[in-house]
Amino acid sequence: MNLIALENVDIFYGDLQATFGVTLHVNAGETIAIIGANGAGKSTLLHAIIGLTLARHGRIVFDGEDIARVRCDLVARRGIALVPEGRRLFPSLSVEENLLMGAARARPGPWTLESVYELFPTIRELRHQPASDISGGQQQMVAIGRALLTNPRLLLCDELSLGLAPKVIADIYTRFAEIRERGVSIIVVEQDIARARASSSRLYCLLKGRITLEASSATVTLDDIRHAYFGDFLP
Amino acid sequence: MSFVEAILNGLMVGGLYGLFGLGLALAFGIMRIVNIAHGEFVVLAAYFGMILLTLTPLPLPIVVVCVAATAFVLGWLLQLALLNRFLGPNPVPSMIVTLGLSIVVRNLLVRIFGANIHSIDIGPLQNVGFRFLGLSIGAVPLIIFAVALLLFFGMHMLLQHTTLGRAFRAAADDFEILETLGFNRRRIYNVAMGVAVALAAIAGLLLAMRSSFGPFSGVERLLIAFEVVIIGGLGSLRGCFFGGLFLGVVQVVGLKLAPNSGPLFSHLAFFVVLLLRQANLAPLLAWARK
Amino acid sequence: MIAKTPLSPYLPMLVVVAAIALAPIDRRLTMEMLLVFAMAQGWNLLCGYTGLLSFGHHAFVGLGAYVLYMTVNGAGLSPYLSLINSAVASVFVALAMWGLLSRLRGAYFSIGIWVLADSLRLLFAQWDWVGSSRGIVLTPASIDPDTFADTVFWLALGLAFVTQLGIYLLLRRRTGLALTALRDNEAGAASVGIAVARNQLAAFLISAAIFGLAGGIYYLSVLYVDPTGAFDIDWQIRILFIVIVGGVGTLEGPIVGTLLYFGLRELFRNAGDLLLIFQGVTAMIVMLAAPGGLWGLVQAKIPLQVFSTRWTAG
Repeated sequence: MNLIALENVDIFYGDLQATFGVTLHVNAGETIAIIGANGAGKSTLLHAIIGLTLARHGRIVFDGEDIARVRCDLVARRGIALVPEGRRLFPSLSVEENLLMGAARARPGPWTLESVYELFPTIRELRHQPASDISGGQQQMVAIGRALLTNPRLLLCDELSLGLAPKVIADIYTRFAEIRERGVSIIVVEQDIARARASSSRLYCLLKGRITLEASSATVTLDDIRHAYFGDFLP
Repeated sequence: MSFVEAILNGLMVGGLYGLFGLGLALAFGIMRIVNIAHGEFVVLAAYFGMILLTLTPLPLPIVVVCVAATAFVLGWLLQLALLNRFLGPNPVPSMIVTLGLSIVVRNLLVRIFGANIHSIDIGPLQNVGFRFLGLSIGAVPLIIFAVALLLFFGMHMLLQHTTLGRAFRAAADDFEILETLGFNRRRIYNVAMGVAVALAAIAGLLLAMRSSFGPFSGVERLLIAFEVVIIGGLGSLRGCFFGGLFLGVVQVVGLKLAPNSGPLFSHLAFFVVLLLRQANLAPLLAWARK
Repeated sequence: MIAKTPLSPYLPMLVVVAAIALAPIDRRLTMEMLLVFAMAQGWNLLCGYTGLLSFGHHAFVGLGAYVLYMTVNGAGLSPYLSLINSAVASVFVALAMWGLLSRLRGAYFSIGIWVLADSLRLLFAQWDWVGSSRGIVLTPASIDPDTFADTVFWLALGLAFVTQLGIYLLLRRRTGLALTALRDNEAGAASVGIAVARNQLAAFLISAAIFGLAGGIYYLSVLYVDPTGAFDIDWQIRILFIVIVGGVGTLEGPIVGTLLYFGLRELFRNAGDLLLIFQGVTAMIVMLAAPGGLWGLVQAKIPLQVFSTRWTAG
């Protein structure tokens, strides 16, 4: 059952077209991955879904409603949350205050401050530290926690592994099972292809704003990915 | 008035200066808007308070609350109807719009009240004072200082311990991400401007009990507010408070030395601070230590 | 390479100058209009082309006026030569101001220079040698009363003409291209190596000189100066209104704005504060509905540049 479906989405930055007729969907309970090189349009798609930028053409149907041109805060309240690229915690606020901001306008649901601290025990001790003072990996956990506290149905993760050590990344991705258990569907945008395959059931590849591959993560071959990633369609 | 008494009075006026600065800093820090009409709202509050006190039997504390509430609504409306159209990285359009507004308000005040100077008479309380360690301190300045302190403390509590206050701080940091958490940034801005104008209004009303005001006093109040923000630092509540105290002392002491100099001394203090900030003090200090 | 523009503005300019010079008009009023126009172009160069919004240029009006008086009264120099001092002093003070203000961005700069202007007003009001708040009368060694009014008029016309021509030529040369790029996109301009600060400084100094000369000429013509008048913020507000409503960032805007302003002033002749209220409301409406000003509205319908500063390659 479709939780969210993008149909023929075109996104522009001024006169520059960033995506061309993108069509994809996520089923309830699923985790899908979007891979592609830098500048392929992956982050742009996530921003359009949550409403930070508005798609010019096409539909974004979430729970039966087209949210393509709905304002960001209203989209968030319908149950979509973003873990932004680069974490983007509020530097003037402490770790706990950042989390509280997630909970402040939250939908009813299972996530509470306590359950987030259980998911990421490391950040419990850091709760009163200024968010700018903690390490990248810890910031990533807080960012995910903050998004989860809004009790979303769909979680958008933008480049979680950027700038983090492999062990830290692995640690974070192991939590995904728990997140999924609470009924959250996830879109993961990743440059790390192995990580993307391992954490998702299906993946899409984006090249210069166009979908070049849709495949099951378990069965897709590295060759297919390479062709789609680099646009190398020659036999 | 002796020097020490001047300093004490300066501290008390400084509390109000701090509030002026705080109003401006809130608007600029949270939504990057410089309200050039800030000073005019201060003066408007003084006029409104004066009218309430002379025409109605309302006691002073109630009048202060009325003025504050009205100012909040005015600021809220200003942001909602006008300033929310000018959000964005360029501060120029909002500055010109609020400059236009300040001109309109100023000249409307002249039309309605004339160009004369007024001050608020609060009756016999004016003359109550204490003698403390050989110094003469009025009750009114003390009460004013207490109110200023209370308001600063209240703002601190708001910013640190309420969702609204955290939303203010978060909006100043990153309003886009704040919106992804379900907050409507325009509504937050409306409230922030309401708070900013209310603070300025209370300070303006209180100041009117200690010094005179006229339709053209707004410019001076704006410049003082601006100087407080620069001296105290934009993001700091404490900075506004101590910056205000510093300017208040400088101003009152300066007027004692040169009674007709207006805000000259606070202007000069402002430039000195600006110069000191720009000077690369590190090599100088290193040289001094040798 | 400067391409040939379809409409050369030189001939119309000379025609207008000749008309102003020869027509039997009120020279007093025209003198004032010319001075205000020159200041508007100067301020427009700074705000419209380098993006620096100043709320304090009235500082230079007062400075130019007082320096003129100090030179004439104190050193006995000819008033007309003393104007040079007005310009020089303005540039020097502007340079000093820049040292203090250049690291301030945006709104901080705009209000910072306002504080500087207010400080100058208060300082001159405290200075006994120039009459403190009472002001002083000009006491030149010799002024021919018959030709005085005319000479001042010619000075004003000269300033307006030189300003218009000078800024037009400036914008057509390489410097001008840099300035226009700056106006359109400061970060982009900086990224291709255009020295943002240096261009802003140049525009700042030029506009300071213009305001200083205008202030000198105006207060020369009235033979009396005082701090409240010479450093009145109204000088700045008037110029801001003219440039913004006329059309900031265009060469034609200040022309339109000046004509509009003086037309309105005539209309509101008996209600001075109504004029000011109208100015305030109009500035707000322009920002809301037509940020390009009146000339911007015209250009939207007819892509016309009387003073064309467009380049074509080759």
